[in-house]
Amino acid sequence: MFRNQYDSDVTVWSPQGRLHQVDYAVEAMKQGSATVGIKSETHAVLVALKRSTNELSSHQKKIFELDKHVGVSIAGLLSDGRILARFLHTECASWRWDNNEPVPIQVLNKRIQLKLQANTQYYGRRPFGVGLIIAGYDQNGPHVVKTDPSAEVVETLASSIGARSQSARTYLEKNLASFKNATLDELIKHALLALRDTLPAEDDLKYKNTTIAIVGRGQDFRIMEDDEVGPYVDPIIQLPRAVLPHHGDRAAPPAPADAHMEE
Amino acid sequence: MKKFKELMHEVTVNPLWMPKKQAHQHRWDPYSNEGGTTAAIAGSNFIVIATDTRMSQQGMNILTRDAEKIHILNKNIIMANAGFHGDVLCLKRIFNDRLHNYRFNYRRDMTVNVCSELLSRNLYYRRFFPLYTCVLLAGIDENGRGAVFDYDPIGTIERNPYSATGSGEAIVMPFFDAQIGYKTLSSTAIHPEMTLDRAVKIVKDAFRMVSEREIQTGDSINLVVMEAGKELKMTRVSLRED
Repeated sequence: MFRNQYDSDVTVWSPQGRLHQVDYAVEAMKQGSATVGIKSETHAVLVALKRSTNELSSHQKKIFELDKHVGVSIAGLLSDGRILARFLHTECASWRWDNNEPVPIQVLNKRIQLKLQANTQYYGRRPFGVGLIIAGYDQNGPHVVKTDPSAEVVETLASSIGARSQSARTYLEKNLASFKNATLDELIKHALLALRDTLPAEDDLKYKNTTIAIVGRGQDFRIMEDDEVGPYVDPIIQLPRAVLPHHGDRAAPPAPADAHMEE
Repeated sequence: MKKFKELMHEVTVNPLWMPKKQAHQHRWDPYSNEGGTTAAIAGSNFIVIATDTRMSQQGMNILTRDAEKIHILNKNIIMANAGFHGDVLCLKRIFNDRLHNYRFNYRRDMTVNVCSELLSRNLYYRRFFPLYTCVLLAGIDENGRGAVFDYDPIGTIERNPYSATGSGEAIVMPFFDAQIGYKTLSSTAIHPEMTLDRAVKIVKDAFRMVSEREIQTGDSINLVVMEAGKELKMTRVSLRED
């Protein structure tokens, strides 16, 4: 991107009608390692690639459990992401305190949107350099919600953020029709295949760098790491890359992966 | 005339002969007592915890025969409460919140030992306006052993192999002392091992004993069995309804 005189503060508009600081924050999000979220009729699945700075250090945790029915995966500045995860967790806890029930995902969406937007409109603050994918299950079924540093919070059927996530989005777009009625195992497989597409050709999914999280009907939010992801990652490693199942030519163009839904 | 009326009112409301405690009863009391008994036994790898399900008022009116006094905090910890139900609900709310925060911060469930200290501190925070509950905490600790902690309303904590609180405490504790602690049986009496079956039988017998003689306990027993590494089991056993 270009450096120019309108990008010093987040409170300065450029003549083209852009807030450059917000755009740069979105770039920061794109530097983080990839994460994918998909939902079916009954479940929502999150998968994430954990990055480690070198061989000696541990992999940074990217998926957080916020409550029994909702969790979040972050991509970008993980320290900013942890602050947002803690904010969402306190929103869940305070809703439970006041109303004695799990928080509806819609309420979380509104709260996080206000929190993110505040940092794009006041002098002296900076936007959060992190994108979130929130996966939850409430009375209205499973939800996958994508957020941006620009405070765009949108419900999706499937989404992916982070480095090279466009490849994952391509996979998700191609297979969108099969998500709705997929079983939990099929959903996880789709998510891992999409995630694998974000890796360079010589790398692959490993137990150490993959996290899977699931939530849904009759299933509390559950994070699986290290050896627990083995049964799901093993079959994927054996599948050859960049060979996606083609079920004949599709007459209609595929719907965009981040299909916006009415709230 | 006005002065006479004032003095007359004063003498009616606070007569000189009335003890202060009785005079106070005309004022609003922030507490009430919904009654009930709780009991728990800790075994080598299990706990049995039970409460009755009657909620009464002034010991005389029955508000419900179906009250829930056992609160499952997480898969390792159970809290059973009797006493003022308003404070019971408050305590339940506080603990659900604390356990939720713990799970987010430490990425795992709180253990029963940590929770027991937390409960003691939370009760003491209200030292000058106590939570009038007779609370019993039970669970499986990190070593897989059963743990039972009992408290007084301001947080005095004790870990015991068995305990009972609530309105029937005075009837149940001597029975437990004899049958589980073997404290009051003669030295030649048989001391059978504390198995899960025996613990469940003792608890059921204890509640039947209490409901015979104590008005605030009865209707049914809510019995929970937690064994290390297994699913929780909840059963209902009916008791006398009078």
